[in-house]
Amino acid sequence: MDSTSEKEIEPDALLDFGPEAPGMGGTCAVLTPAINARLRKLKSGEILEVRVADPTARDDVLSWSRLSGHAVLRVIADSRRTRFFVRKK
Amino acid sequence: MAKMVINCTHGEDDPERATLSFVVGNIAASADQETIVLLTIEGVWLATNGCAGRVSKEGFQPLSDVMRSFLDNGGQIWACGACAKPRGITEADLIPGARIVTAANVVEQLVGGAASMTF
Repeated sequence: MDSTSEKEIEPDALLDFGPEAPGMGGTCAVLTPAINARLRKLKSGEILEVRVADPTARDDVLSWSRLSGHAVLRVIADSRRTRFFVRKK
Repeated sequence: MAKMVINCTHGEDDPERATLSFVVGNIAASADQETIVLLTIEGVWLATNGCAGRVSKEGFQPLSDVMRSFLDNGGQIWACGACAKPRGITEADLIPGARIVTAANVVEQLVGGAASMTF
């Protein structure tokens, strides 16, 4: 995973998860299934950008990536949100 | 052979345990891990038509939504035969995607290396 390269990644699709949805059991309960569902609509090799406000999402997405084989190319975080660039295997 | 077997022992009697079983199962299934949610004891009712629609825990997605997502992600729903029979549950009562299994089917998965957890 490259977090320092200056080269911009152009995603093929965007999943803006936003703030933790109330009544959903927490981001960890719904985020990675939502990413997986969105990836099903992409072709192999295409890139999905995921934006999440919950800072705990980093652990979830990286763990899911190791298990699923969909690579996280880059993680960009600021005080408001984290952006993940995921390439469909 | 499954990677995970999640044993759900509760249904309408404990909506939180019922829902968490499928939440965790869905996390595994959506990470490409072959996952079975095994329904035993009162949990076996969740495999029947109409039951999941009556189960909802405040703060969580409705169980029927989580189950649907779990099945869409390739998850399997197994209903314990030893629990279904005394409750009068047959294959005809089951939701699409669920099946009645034997104890030997479950043992085979565990001996084959599947990790397990119980709610």
